[in-house]
Amino acid sequence: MLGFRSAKGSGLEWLPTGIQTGFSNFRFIDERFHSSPVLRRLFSLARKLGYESLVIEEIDEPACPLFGEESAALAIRDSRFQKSRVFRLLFLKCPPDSILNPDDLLGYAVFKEDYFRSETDPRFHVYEAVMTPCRQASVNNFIHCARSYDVASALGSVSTKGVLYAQQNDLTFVCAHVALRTALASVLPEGDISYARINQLIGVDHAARKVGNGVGLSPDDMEAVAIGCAVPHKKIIHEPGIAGLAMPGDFQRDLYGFIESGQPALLGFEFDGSPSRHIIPVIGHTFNEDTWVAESARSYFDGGLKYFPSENWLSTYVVHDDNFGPYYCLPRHYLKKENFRIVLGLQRHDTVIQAVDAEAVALVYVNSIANLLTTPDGGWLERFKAFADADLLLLRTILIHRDEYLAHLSACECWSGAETGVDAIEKAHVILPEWFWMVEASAPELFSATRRKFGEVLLRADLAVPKPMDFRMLLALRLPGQFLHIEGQTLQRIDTDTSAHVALFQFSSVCCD
Amino acid sequence: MNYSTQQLTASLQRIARVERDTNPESHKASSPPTFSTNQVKIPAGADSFLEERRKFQEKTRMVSIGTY
Repeated sequence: MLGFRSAKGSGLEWLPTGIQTGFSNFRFIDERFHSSPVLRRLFSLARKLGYESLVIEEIDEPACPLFGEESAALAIRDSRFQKSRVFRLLFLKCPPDSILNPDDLLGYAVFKEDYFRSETDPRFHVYEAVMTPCRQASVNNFIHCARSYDVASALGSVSTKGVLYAQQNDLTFVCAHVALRTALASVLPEGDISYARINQLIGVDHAARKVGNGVGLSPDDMEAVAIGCAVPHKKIIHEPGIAGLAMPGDFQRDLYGFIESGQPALLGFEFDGSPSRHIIPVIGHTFNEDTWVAESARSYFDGGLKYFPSENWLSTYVVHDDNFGPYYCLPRHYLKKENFRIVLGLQRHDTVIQAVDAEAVALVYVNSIANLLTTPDGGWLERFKAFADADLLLLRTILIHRDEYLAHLSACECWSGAETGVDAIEKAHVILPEWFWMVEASAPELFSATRRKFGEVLLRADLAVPKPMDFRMLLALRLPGQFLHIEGQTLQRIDTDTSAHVALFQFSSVCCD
Repeated sequence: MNYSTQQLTASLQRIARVERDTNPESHKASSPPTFSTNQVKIPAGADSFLEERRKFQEKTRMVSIGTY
């Protein structure tokens, strides 16, 4: 269905906005857009991106079927609904009257006013916006689920890249709708999902079942939407007020597991001193290469683990909050367990266990097998063994597709230029299933400084952890100088030329390259 | 320096001495080409953390509390 980003607009205005022009974001939003706080956030992001001009067009309802669908829903929900007005704003890095280049669009926003009888002013919200993230991988910001969006305008079609943001109207869609929309938009082939489709999947018809004004979606509703869209997902809950439903351990590592595998997650929490709840999409993370947390947690406090989870180096989660705007940083551990209630993490492929479990299994395998390795000549295999023996390995877990792993294996090389070798690559091609867990093993200094590793453990993603634990989940290990793969009851070794450390796996991403 | 770090330091010092005394090009793995998984000992209790998580996930799979 033709949406607001693709519909034909009217009444084009093209305004200069560069700092030298005297254009004030604040004054403009106060005069034209009801002092919308979310627009202030969007305009401030545009300012950080160095925008030089703003294109404003109004979308007329007949030109946009989605507009009509939204109006119909509002009319059912509230009989006082009269009409809506929709404006499409394009933030450009070129000044007015330029010839548009394909990369001139820094972002766009769709601003919607809804008019109701007996209310003097319209209600308003940012229906959607996609902004280029201001900070990217070069400054340790990793947003893997960004994608490109084509946007129409009277000046021609342009595109931008980012993660779709949306704000609730608290009548026909609420925070769970917009969080689901952000998450699903980043994984569905069509790049978006309508509120009508979400409501259809959960039976919200705005008459017999309504949302808004304090009525939201349940975890079952959110799962039904993911199932209706055929998107694999996992749910983690923490309900400390109900006997037996207090989560053991910490939710942060589960949340990180979804994000580090390149997928978004929804994070729900309860307010302080109130039973009200809110949910936001988590879309990426930042990385602190000089964090004190990893070492100090084990040396001074009750770290508890016999390895370093790579999650220790996470600095903040990158989130959208529909109440405030896109691309906020939520510091690790700012959201306390007593407020946390749910993570709904999306997956690229369904798995039996989660990243945290796979990491624990990999630790058992890697420590057990390290005991068998003999390395009398020193070298990086022995350094790996030394870190394993001292319980000082660092592990990073990712759900990966075979083609991604084979490309990674083929591209891996030591600083000497030595590569993996064809025998190991051919064997990996034969033995690996389509999807599996890759748990990378590194040392803190290798991981944080040069983003390198000793190797990785590959685990089946279609099995539960065996009881008692055995080697059924193990597919292979790659360590310095060798690729060990399991065949029946034996581990077979293929020698490789990568006898030292190699680069960590990195997702290709439109905003992380 | 805690025990783990002391252990690692000792190992790294030993590796450095071995490397100093041998040809760097000879750092090839000398482990046997095959191991039986029966040789590999998985410590008892290694799955207790996983079992606790599995039980909780099983218990909460159908739970749907609160609205958002």
